[in-house]
Amino acid sequence: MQIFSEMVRCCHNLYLWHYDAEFRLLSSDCPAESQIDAFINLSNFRDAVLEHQKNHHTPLILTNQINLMCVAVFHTEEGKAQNVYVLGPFFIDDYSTRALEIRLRQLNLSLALRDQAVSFLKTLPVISLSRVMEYAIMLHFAVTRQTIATSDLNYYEDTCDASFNSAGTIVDSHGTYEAEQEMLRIVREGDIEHFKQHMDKMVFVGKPGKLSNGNSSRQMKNLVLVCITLFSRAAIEGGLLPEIAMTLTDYYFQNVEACNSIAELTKISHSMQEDFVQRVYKIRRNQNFSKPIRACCEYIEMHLEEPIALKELADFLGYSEYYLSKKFKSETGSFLKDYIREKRIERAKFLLKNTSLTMQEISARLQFNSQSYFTETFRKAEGITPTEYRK
Amino acid sequence: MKLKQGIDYGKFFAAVTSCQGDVYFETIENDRLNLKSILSRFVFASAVSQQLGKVNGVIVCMVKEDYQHLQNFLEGEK
Repeated sequence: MQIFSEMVRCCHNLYLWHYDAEFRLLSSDCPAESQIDAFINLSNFRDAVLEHQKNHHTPLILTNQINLMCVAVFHTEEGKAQNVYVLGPFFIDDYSTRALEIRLRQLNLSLALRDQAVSFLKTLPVISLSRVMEYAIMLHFAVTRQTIATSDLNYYEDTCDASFNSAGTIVDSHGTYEAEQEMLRIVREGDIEHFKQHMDKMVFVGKPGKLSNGNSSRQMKNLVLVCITLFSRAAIEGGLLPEIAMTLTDYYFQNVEACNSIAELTKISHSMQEDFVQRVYKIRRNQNFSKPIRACCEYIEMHLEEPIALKELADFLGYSEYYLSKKFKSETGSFLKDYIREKRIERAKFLLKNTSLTMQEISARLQFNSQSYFTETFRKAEGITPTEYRK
Repeated sequence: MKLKQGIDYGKFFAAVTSCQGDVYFETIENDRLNLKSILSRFVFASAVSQQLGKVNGVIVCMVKEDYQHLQNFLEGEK
């Protein structure tokens, strides 16, 4: 741990803090230990850390209302929390420090107190989010000897005092042209095999362009919005119906705009990427079907949230109901009714993970006669109830 | 009332958060920091770090009962 700490300090003025399982400070390599510890505890990180370690053993990246951050890594033995190692405090981009400096200068403070705060602010390190994630992964390895990926990292943002004002990159599209092109290829080809490993390597490399003037939350949201647009176009090239791609784009745009935290934005970004890749993968897998059956599948996909009658499908394709049923079964191996139900359950899974719609709302939206019928159908398909799945 | 030296500031801030009313740190230069605000805590902690743990100021609680709540961190009796 000492070597790790010294190596980190070759690059950044960052300290390592060693807490016990109750988050009481045991030691630190910070020379002004008791004073700087105050910055780790400006807001209620202690409760967040204790709560997190009940059920998780992977690192937690914490942000408070003034965007001061730290990384917590957990040491457990036989499932029991032993120690917590914290790296910090730091900021993740210049917007946060500049915004904070402006706020400090606007406060009605004596010159001495204000200057102390501003000069101290300038001593705190500014580290890119990608580097923070690398440190989290490395520290986790140093503590546990386990290798994890960026997708294993967790986030906590203390938002109880202020509106969202986080900063940093979620998806980087500047100075990483090759990585971006690779990601778009993965979407275009529905390459789910390489998707996960590329996600872990690519996303946080380099430095993003400036997509907003001084507003860090806008900066981050704009980055994700750019990615949604790029991915949806790549998915269309991969065979996804433009109308579906546009609907998904609208959906994710709205979710991004409604976001209030880095944790939510990260989750949406990951879901969005996986969603587009999966959809193209499924379309390509269905390439063996005849054109009318592919069209039938796409029609079903487009109308999952409306009643779908066999007659309607048959009319759409210009077939009789009997002929369509037989043809669908012979090519796909599934009855139409079962296929539609399966797709609705897939959509339900998506809505459960990515929205805050109630069970009743999801059930109604997906045309189930009742919530209990929806629950039962879901449980038969997935082995767990929708509520359990959402957890 | 004055703050004791060498206290655990994390626990102090947690105790302030659970106080009923606002808790101010008032300096001899007439600064008045509401320690329920994260920004004010940052200013306060900056002063503490640069004055090597000594801070020239007093803690003022708007609700009298809160002094009891903070007694482990304060010098003297209220």
